[in-house]
Amino acid sequence: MSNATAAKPAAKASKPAKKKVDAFSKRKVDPAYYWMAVPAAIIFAFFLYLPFVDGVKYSFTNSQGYGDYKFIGFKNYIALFQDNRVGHAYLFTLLIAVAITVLINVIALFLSVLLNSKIAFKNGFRAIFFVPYTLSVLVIGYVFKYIFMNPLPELGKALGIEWLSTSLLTNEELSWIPIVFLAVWQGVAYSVLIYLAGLQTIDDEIYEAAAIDGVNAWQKFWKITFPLIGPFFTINLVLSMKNALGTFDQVVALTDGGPNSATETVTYLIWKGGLTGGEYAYQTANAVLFFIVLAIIAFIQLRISRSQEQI
Amino acid sequence: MTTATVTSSPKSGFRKDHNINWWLTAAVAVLSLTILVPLYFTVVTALKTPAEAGTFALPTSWQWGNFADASAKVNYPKAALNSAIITVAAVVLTLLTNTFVAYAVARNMDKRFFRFLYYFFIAAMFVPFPVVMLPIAKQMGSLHLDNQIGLIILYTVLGLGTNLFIATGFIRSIPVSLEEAARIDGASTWRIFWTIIFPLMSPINATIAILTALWAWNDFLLPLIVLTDQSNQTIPLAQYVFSSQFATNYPMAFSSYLMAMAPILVVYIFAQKWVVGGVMRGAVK
Amino acid sequence: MLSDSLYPTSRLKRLGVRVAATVCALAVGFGLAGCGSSTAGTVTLDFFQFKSEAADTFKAIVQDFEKQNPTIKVNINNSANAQTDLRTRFVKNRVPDVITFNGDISFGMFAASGVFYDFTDEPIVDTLNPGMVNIAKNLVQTTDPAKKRLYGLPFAGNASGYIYNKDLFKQVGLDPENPPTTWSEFTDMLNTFKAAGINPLQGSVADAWTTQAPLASLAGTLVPETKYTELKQGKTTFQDLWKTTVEKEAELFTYSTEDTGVTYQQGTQSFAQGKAAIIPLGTYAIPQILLINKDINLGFAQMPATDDASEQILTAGDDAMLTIGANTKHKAEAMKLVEFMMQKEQLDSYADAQSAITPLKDTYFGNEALETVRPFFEENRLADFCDHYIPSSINIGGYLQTMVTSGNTDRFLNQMQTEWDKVQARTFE
Repeated sequence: MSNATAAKPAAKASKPAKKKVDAFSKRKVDPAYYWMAVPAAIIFAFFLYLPFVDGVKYSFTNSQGYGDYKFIGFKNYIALFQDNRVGHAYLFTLLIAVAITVLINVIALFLSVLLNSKIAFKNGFRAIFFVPYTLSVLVIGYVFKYIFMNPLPELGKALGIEWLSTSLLTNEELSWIPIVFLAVWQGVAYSVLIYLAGLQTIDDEIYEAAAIDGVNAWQKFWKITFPLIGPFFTINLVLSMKNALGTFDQVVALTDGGPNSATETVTYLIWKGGLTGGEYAYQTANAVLFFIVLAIIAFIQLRISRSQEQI
Repeated sequence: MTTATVTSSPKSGFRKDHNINWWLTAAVAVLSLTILVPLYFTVVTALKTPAEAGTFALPTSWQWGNFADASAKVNYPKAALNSAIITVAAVVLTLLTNTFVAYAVARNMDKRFFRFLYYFFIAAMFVPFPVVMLPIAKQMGSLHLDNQIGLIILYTVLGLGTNLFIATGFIRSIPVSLEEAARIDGASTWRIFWTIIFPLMSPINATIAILTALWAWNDFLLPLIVLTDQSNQTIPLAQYVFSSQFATNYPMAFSSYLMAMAPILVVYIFAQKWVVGGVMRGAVK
Repeated sequence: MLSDSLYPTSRLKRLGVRVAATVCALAVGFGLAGCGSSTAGTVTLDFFQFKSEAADTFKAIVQDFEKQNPTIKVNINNSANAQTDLRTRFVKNRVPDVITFNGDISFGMFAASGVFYDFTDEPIVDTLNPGMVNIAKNLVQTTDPAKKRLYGLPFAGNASGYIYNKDLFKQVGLDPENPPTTWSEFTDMLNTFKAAGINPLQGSVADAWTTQAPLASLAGTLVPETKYTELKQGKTTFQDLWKTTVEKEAELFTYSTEDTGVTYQQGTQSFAQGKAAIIPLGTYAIPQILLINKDINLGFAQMPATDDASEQILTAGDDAMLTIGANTKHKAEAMKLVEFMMQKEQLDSYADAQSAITPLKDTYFGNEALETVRPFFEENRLADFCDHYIPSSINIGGYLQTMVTSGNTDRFLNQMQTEWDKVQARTFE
């Protein structure tokens, strides 16, 4: 599910509430509200926070996921920092996440402006560009795997382009390209709609006024459009970054982490190592580490978006 | 209506509405090929013989039998039924539960406890699934929830953070006065919610339903680790098993992929306006 | 934190009914699961089947079994990724009743953790090929020799070497019934094809695991199995252990004129169409090839690794192990199914379908192409696959794939050593 994760609106929502706290905190709440929210909170904790705590516990053991185990302290964490397969997975995940985020947002911004301009069949095109989001990444990934495996190298041979003549999927240096491509191909769809939603909040009169002042198209975009859809840009950045950091289906469909572990993302490694390699506890430790890394990234994003707000 | 364009002249703002920029339309049409060509490729490959596969040309003879073969191999009807049951149940249960949680939280944000709950739910959006993936597999197994019911519960529960986030803003825009009138007439909070608030939430409910449906239908990772019994397989999971078994026969594999994509594509074609509108509404709030 | 009244005693009952909606899903979940798997006299066995290619064969065997045992129902679960799926089952504490699994290091790790039934003292073991039973016992991942017991019955065996096209052998004037017995003869054979303009060797490097096959084939002769214990004790290194083997494999792939983007499917397809003389894979690839061209005239041979014909050892393994979950609730029924499957008739039908080798004392080959390796079985000149000693968390296939495409053997051996050391360092027993 695409999670409309934006720290900023959340923070905004809490501001008016804060003011009310003093005035109304003695107000009596209908018990029905507790019945609506508390059981849900308990179930929520049971299925999400409890496994999380459980995972943290296992990360300090030598468990295979079944059978006997014992606590071994921080040994898993120490081993993680000495494991260059893990290190590579983090580096790879961060690099493709940045590439995916940048590409998605650049392409989606460009497309949404195009789709919002005076073109024919506007709704039809809008519907077409959202199609990738309705498809299963895994299934369309298999389709692209075949395209990358057969027709594309044929094309490369025909055109005499050497790096394209063999399959990108088996090329250690280039196998990231299909993964990024698939993630972008699919991710653009959702971002375009968010940008379109943003563009539609802009009052046409602003452009009309700008037109009178003789502003050119380029200036119009950077001076008017872009600042006005700023909040949507933030949402999109956070969202696409979050999804990209969790890249998994793309790897399963296209490369299975290969060649030579070159395309293993952290998520893939946690799954693969934890359930195939039999290093359950070790990979749970990896998951906890990943959580910390993601929390830091989220925190940085939050700080950046707040500082932007102040400008 | 006049809209922003990148390349048209500044004067375009003054033109009449019906002025269509055909150059831009052509450019967009060319760009849309990036979406349409892979889909076209899927369709034609699905209809070829194995020897013909691999090109973008139309098949010389249309192999409709590929669909029947693939359907039998993956037990497609069963997988489609599983996916449909899980998706529908997840959407219904999500709408029936997540909405009143959002309502309770949104209406009591002035109370410290509910504000705590709000962050308690929202914070989960920052706990990425892979982090809890291994323990959740363990937990679902020991609860004997490694089946469709388990998946339905997980979609309903794990989606709560996002749905709450989407819905609270909307609920807060509904005037409290509507409820107060009913309350004076003696209606309980639950009654007020189901008779007044829930119907008013329809637009945002549509958004939640669409996002949940797309998630549950297309998801691969959760079914992969949660489901145990092969007869419970969802469509993406069935494709995963299939691709490891019979991938030599590409046309048959592609007809299987096409059948996996078809249901949601058909629904989407008929409901695209509504879907696109719903997703955009989720962004604006 | 809770300053408000949270105890709505008066309305509790009424609200409770409504709140039930929130938790009913859970209750339903528990309720259904509580039903268990047996209803009114019939027992349902959960049968985990690892070999997706053999799904149809097992289905037929199970149908026969169900006919003979109307009170037992068998629910077959074919796996896409057996290792991951079975381990996920263990993590979820959903151990299947009956299991088929590849006889590799993962099987040995599972066995060592006590999740499989101990067959050591079952009478059926006496009817089995002792060589294949020993391979199964040796797999158990423990340093304690007393614990190397039989945690599964060998169901079918395979061998690693190369599959060759007999018609192409005749075409260049080689004797298809007497394949090379030394490394020099072997490379001469490849050169003959090269000179004749026929692709000598079909690679399928895009599927990394296929590069492990020649390594295993060569190591059978070149590396005594006792060396791996020394490796574990830190007394030897991969440089010592595998250097010659890896160099020979690198040399082998210089004969492959195909590009590196060829998958297992494409490789077997080209070979089946007669586009290459040999394909350096095990017997398990034969069904795949026959699927594409059932008329191809195949041979299978051991891959010679040295220039002394008498030194050659065939790499063979327990391709399929059959076992029972240690704590199954339906042990009697599970055993019944196992005994049914271990009958000669069922074993032969599987061997025929998979071109496999039966585990009974009187060895039966599921494909006559395998007759060339019969002496190895009769003289017990067998060794297990060398990659069965490598923990699955080491991505040996990936490293080997890169070695084959780059020809850099040192990098591969060093990678293996580093990974091995790391795994040893983080295995906290």
